[in-house]
Amino acid sequence: MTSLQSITLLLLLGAPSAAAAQGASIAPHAVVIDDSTTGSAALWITAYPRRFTLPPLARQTVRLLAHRPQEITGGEYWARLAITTRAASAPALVSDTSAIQVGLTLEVRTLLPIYHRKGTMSTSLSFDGATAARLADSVAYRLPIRASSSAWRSRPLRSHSRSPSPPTALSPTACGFECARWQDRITETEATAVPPLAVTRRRARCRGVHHPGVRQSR
Amino acid sequence: MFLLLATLVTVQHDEAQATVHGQQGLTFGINLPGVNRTIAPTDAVNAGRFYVRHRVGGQVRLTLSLPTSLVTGGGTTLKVTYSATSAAIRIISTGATTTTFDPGSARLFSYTTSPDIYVQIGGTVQPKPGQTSGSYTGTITLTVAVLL
Repeated sequence: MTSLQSITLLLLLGAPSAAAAQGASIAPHAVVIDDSTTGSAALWITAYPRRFTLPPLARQTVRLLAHRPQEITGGEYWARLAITTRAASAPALVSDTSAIQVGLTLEVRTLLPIYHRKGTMSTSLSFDGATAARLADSVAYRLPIRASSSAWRSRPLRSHSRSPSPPTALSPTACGFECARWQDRITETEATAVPPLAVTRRRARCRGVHHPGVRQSR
Repeated sequence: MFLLLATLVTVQHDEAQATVHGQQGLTFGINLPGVNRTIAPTDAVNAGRFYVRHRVGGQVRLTLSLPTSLVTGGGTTLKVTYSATSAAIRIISTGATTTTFDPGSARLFSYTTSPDIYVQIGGTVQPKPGQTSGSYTGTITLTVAVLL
């Protein structure tokens, strides 16, 4: 660092795209933990100092102090520390007022995760028996996922689809639901404790092979 | 750059080793009305350049926030555009290894051979015929999310 740098610290919740990196990925669907409502430590962690100017080659200690509320339950809480730096003064352009001079300055924003844990952490994910039901030209699957975790607690799970294209018309009797290859269309669902993941799958090609692990309900 | 200490808070040590700073602004210099000027991300003199250091084996997500118009103190604007190859990552230890990418999309980068990279940014300014003279400025923001 060779110039004066103005530095600002900010505690914030993660952006949805960043939160995806913290979720469990179950191909071809990503199940992410929604961090927008619970588990945030951003409100009760404070950085000292929050804003300062750093001379070249100097160091600055930033202390993070957690004022944890007494009433919070055990589990994992988190926030992101956003550190924004920019040169204290913009670079001087040529002092020719009759010309069109163009220059862009640079700003850097670094995001670091902060974790605060209360109690002993444990996490697990279990799948109950999947069920399927014929629905017009599709088969609707229901896959209950049970999240047991002292860290995630009751955060909602969301499902995402990689191929949200609408289904095309196929005869429901063409191959029953004994199909080996599927193109997926997922119905967005949200739940808190035991989230049923409603998945609608469209048959793309049938081989006459029973899909393993699926119990049919009509 | 500076040291982060934690009081009752855990900041993962490896992640705290990331170093990011802006080294050189993107400079288009003096331009003529009605004449576009493009700066390549590989332009050592004029391209904007960030330095991002992290441990080998680590991973960061790089997101550039780019202004689409630059302004003078009087509020006059000047259009600036970016193409799919207006940004580049240069891995320092391997010399000339440079990969261009679209600055409009986030880029996930894994450090496999070197802890040091440059993120370089170019662009094109499009002064209109009769463009008002003056100093046009803006700010490019690089957000680095340390993932691993």
